Amino acid sequence: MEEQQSHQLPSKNLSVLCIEDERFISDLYKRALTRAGYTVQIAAEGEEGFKLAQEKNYDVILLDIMLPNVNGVDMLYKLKDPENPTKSKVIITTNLDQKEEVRAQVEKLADGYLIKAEITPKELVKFVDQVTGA
Amino acid sequence: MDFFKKFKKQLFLRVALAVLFPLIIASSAWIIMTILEVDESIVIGLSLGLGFGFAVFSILILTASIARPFKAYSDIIMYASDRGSSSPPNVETLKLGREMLVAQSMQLYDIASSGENSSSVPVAAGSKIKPEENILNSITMPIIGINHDKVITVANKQTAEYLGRKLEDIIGANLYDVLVLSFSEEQTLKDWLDQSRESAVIASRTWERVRHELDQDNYLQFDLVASFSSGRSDGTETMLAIFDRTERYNQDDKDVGYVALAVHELRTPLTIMRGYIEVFEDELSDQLDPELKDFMRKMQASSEQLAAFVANILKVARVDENQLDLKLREEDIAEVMKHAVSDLELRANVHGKHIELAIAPDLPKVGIDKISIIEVVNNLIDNALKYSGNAEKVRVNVNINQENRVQIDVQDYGIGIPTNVMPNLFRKFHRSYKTNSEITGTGLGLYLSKAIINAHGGNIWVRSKEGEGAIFSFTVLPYDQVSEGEVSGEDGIIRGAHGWIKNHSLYRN
Repeated sequence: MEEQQSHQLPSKNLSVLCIEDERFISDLYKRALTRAGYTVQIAAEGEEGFKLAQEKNYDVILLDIMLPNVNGVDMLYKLKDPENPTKSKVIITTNLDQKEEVRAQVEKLADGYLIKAEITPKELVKFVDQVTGA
Repeated sequence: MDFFKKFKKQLFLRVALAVLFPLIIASSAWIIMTILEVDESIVIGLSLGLGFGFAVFSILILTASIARPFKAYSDIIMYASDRGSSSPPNVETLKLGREMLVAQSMQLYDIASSGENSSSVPVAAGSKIKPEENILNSITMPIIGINHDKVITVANKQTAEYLGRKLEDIIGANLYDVLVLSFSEEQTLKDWLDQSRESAVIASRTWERVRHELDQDNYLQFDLVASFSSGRSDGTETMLAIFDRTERYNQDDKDVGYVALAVHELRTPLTIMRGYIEVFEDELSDQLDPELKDFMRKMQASSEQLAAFVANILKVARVDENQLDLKLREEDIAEVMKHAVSDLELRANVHGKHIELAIAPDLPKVGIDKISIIEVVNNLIDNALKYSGNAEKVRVNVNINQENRVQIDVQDYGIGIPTNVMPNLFRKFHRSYKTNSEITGTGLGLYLSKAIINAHGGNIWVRSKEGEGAIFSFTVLPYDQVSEGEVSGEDGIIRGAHGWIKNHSLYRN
């Protein structure tokens, strides 16, 4: 434990909500982000995630757009509703290719778009750092 | 008609001769034997026998003589209709009816080759089929002839059946109204016709994997052969022959589709594996002995290779559906190449190889989609590592070439590529030329690389000598050349990486 603590970077005072149904992946992301100094909350279900996203002002939301029972793209539209947009930066994480038109819309609306299979947790941290300017 | 009179006269002479000849023989024999006072019964018997024998002989000669012009007629017709006879029958040696046959064969050939000077053969109420169309209808593949304005002047019944339309609707219509074509090669039929008109009297070209769209989701797939000839008297400028391959090519496409579907399922476990391997690599490496540490690196290199493979397959599926858009931005090629090579160093090292990167100074900024170009470099270096054999080095050069384009060469010192497989290397499903178990590949990496480089406006090619390694090269354009006349939005300059290029349909000049 002590060994791990020595890798822990000082807290950044930045919070991340990870909406991800695949437990192994959310664990990995939480671990890497926590060690980089972020405070991480995991939501395994879309509805729970959306509720949390509205209640708390996370600095970053990692949103898997392929969630059971919930359309992640719709959720993105709600989060980025021009009338009442969330202050959080939204990064889309996915492993499913979208049609080019959908992808272009999603990318335009979101603050980032990542294919999970193409990045490692450390690369995710780098990306989140860039988005938050941390 | 003079020919016919002469023929009648020749025929009359031959028949008369055939009748008179046995009579003369029999009479002569009768007279000679009577003079020689031979017994009367012998005279009658011998004379009749001789007369009968020579009569049979005459009939045989006469039959053969009369049959020859009929045989010649039949040969001429067969030759004119192009069924089985490869050379014109020689009528010059004929004795009976030669003039008539020579004159009539000329006329027949004329009819068959032009279809103009003939009286048409009516086949159904209101429709008349020219003799050349009879020839076309006897060919089992769809054949279409178009004139200078791309209006269909002739088509066979197979075309109508193939396209599921009426022949009357096809003939007289514009080709591009009848066929909605897409090509898997850069030069479309329209491009080729434009080029042929400018520079050729006759030309021909073959395309593989051409699509004709039936509706949004269904299409026919075929190989297309075009034969261009300017200044034909009948106005037909280009003949097109269609070799249907719908079933085979659809199967290929389905294979990619299924593989892409299955490969999606690999992404989640792959994400997890790569994640945990990274955790181990970061936090355990220091505690492991060198052997275990080496195992860890191999595991990491393999998971990266698998990730690249999965990305490749899915990209190919997108290219085939014309669903891959590239975003060209102003980038520093030196940085991109350093990034690409450093990603692959681990993979090279675990195989006991190293990558030597040489970048020329003062290169211009290039207009590229960074991620896609890294994928191309990844594919080329991955191939170079695979085909290196015992050679340890793979060399990567980045230069500016004479055309002021940035050229990247990836050179290996391995087994080289046989000349006969070189032209097919960049085609989809071209499999590894060495099919031994050590070297594997889907044959999709180079196909994808070509699609990506072409979308950038660059070129990709290979030089190789068997046994002396290979150099794969590609070019990309400096940003100022890419951006010229292009609208650069927030997302950079958008370019599609096409598996299929639509034949230009704005045909009306």
